[in-house]
Amino acid sequence: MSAHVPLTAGFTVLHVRNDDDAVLHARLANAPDSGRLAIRVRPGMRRLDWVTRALLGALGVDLGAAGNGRNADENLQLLPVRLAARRIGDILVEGAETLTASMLTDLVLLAAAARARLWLVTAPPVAETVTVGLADWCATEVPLADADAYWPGLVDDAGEPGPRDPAPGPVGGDPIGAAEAAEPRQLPLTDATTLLATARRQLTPAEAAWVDRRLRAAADGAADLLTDADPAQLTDPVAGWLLRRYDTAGTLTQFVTDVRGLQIAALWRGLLVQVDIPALLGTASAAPSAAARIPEVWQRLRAYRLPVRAAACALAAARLGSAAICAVTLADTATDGRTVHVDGRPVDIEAGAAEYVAEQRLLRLASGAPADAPLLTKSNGNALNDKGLARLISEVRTELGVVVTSRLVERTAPNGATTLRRWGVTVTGIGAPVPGAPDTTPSTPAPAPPGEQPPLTEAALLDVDLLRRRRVEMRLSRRDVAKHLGVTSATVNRLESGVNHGEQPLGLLQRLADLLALDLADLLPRRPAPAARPTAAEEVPAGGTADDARLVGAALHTLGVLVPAETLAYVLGWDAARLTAALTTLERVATAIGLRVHRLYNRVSLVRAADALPAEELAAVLRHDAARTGLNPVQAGLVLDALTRAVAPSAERGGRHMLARSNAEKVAAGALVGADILTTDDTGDLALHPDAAVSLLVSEREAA
Amino acid sequence: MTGRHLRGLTGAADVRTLAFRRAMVTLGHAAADNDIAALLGKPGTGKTFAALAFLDKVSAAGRETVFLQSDVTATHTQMTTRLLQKLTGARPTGESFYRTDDVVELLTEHSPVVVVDEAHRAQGRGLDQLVYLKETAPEWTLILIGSELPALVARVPGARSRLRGRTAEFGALTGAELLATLRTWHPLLRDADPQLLQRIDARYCSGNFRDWAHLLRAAGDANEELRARGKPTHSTLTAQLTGTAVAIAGLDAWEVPA
Repeated sequence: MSAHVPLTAGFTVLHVRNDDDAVLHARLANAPDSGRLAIRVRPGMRRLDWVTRALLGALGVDLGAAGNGRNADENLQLLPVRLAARRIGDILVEGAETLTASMLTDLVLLAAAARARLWLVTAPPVAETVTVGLADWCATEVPLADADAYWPGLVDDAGEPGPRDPAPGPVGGDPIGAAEAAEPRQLPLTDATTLLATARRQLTPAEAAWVDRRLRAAADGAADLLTDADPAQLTDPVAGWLLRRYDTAGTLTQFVTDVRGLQIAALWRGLLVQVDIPALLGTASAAPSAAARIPEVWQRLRAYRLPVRAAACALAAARLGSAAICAVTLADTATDGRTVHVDGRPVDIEAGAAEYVAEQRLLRLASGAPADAPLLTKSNGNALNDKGLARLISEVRTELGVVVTSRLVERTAPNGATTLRRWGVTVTGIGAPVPGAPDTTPSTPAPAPPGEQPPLTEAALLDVDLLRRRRVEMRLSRRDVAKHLGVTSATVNRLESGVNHGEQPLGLLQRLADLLALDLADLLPRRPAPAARPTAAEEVPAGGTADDARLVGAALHTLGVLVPAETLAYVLGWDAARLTAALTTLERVATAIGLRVHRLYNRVSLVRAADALPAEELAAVLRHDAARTGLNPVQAGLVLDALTRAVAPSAERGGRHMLARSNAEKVAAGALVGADILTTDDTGDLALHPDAAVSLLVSEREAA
Repeated sequence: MTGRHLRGLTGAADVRTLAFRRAMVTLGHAAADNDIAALLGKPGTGKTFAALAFLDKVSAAGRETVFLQSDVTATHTQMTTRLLQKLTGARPTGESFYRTDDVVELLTEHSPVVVVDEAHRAQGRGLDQLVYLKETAPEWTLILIGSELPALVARVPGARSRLRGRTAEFGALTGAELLATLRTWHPLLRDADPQLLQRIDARYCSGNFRDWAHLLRAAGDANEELRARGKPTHSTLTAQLTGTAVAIAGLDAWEVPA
């Protein structure tokens, strides 16, 4: 390895023979940020377009995103520009022995246009056309050892812990370092009262830790703000605080987490802050104006094959109006994309976004556009209008979650009342402040044991098997379903694989159920079946109990309504113990025939198993409902009472019905208990559910 | 050895031979590391049985499993299509480039253990596609089974190196091990004369358990025939029963003079 073949800069063809059948990992050698692109030719390739697509994929393009089609010729024109813009100096193609002569020529010309070194790795048997082609292009022979030295990770070193093996060290390491990268793309759609607990359950540990940290920081920051006793006086400070957060938040996730932190801090001060989250999430006018400022978020835009969407986002984030964005010409744009001249004055483009503007400019020039042509165009080369621009930006928002606005009105700071009205934010006083303060010291959750990820399906809310089966029965593809629901097919994929159900809006689930001609309740999975499914015959104990169970079952089935147990016992002439035993037996055998004994207080009935919503699914549904509408003042009052009692237990115990006095309060208490926000403690008082206690930042000491 | 995948053979018990236990260890390591493994050996020596037993074990532990039979048309597109069919339960559509992407996504998502039986019958491109998928989405396990597998693997770049140290060989059983296995395997052989078993094996079966199953199925049929006629049946394989069974199974058919 001491005598390297000297590498000349710029376009060269290099030939690496893998005659010893060493295991190569092009996937691991690929490092576009270091200027090296490595791909492996797909088996059975018949046209060069497969290689160009693989090269785009290696650059980070997601071929499932918008702006794709049958673009074989276009890809070949596009690639030199994208390779030059990303400063790719080396391209490695593994499996080059399967290329035909014309493909080889096209590939070499592509590398020449991008001024990159082309490394062709062949394994025997190599066809004569390839050998001849390599000779025609004066390929330099490079030993595999040299290629391995230049491309880290390319050759698999058997025996040594290669890059394929996950390194055993950093699993339980410092979680703080990679914090910003751990930001979840979306927060679980639940109310502030259960957000933290749901995040811990549904997100990965790193993401949950990120939510935890951000939420506590926001609650801490908002606590100083809410000192005034009169809620009416608080409107302006709250609006100002939200606007500041809105301007500095990089993504929607960050902003919504801040809003949730504000809600928690407000509840501790005896205030209810209601936010219409669907309005906040659903309208472009209410999205953070200066979003997408961190490099990670800008890098998401690499998923697009064409840089036009990313360039549009870059200009919109530079606070240009839509007319100004559409009017930017190639002459106005600097070579490196850092500045754009609008009406003669220079406008700075953010550092992370400049590459897309530069790429777009190069691409337009390469397609032969004159200097006075517009920078952004439609796919047919015509000038872009406002509507087209809006479509590009909303595609980015829905597909990649990167939000930039293009309306000038959003960028002039409105007064407090206007902002609050636009976001559906209201501040209401609901009671006295809680004696105490939220625990805002970041908690350190126990690191997950290495190699043991929590199963994602744990949070699956829907019966994914039924979903998939039903879709197949109706002969719909995932793409069809996605089109009908107006979401990306990635969302449908996630729905079907059982991850992130909790993040999907209830309305979407409802529309999905409608599309599949199902009831939403049918989609909720049954209670997990016992390991060995009991059959009615083997499960029924012999003797009198079996007959009793049959009798009770027949009676309940005939009646079909909720019957008080005492009445049943009286009619059958049994004592209570006999009836209880019969019901217990019936409960066990009923599941085998798809029935279920439903109990409400002391009344019982026999229902179809599908009709009775199991407790945890009911709680999940109610929580989603609470997240859509937020808590109402009556519910918030009860939560505040419970929070106060959790922090400072009072001497007298009231009992559930003494605490929930009015009918409205009893209804609210029922809903909150059903949603696992409140619970009943051993003395019968309403108390905070552990999930809510965690989410409302009650410190461990006080909770104990 | 069992009757489970030898259709029509009843009453056979599972026998965990030495090769079987070795194979289970190899496959267990491969599944734990999400690697490629291969089971080699002559036909009828228990490769498929070992793979099926392993799949049972794996799916009982909650992991998804896929069992593919390959035939002479198993090209790269066929492999993609079948994997997609098994993983989604639906007939795949779309261009084959994107189908490959879909399979990669699904394999990453489900992380299954995929067994390709009779892999030597697949085309080189089919195996090449499997290696490509394994390389692109490493988080799944591939188990290849085939008597002529080395010949195919030699034609596919990178396949041989990837299988190094992850192969288990099934040889034809002989001598005492064959006798012990046969006796535990089937009730008709439990008390059979060892010399008779040796002779049958030398003449008809030569350690091939598929042939043994064929013979025992015929012996079972002969017993059924006797029972139907109201005559006493054989509880063990005798020379007389063997003669009838050989006639029914047609094992001597090739030796019948024209």
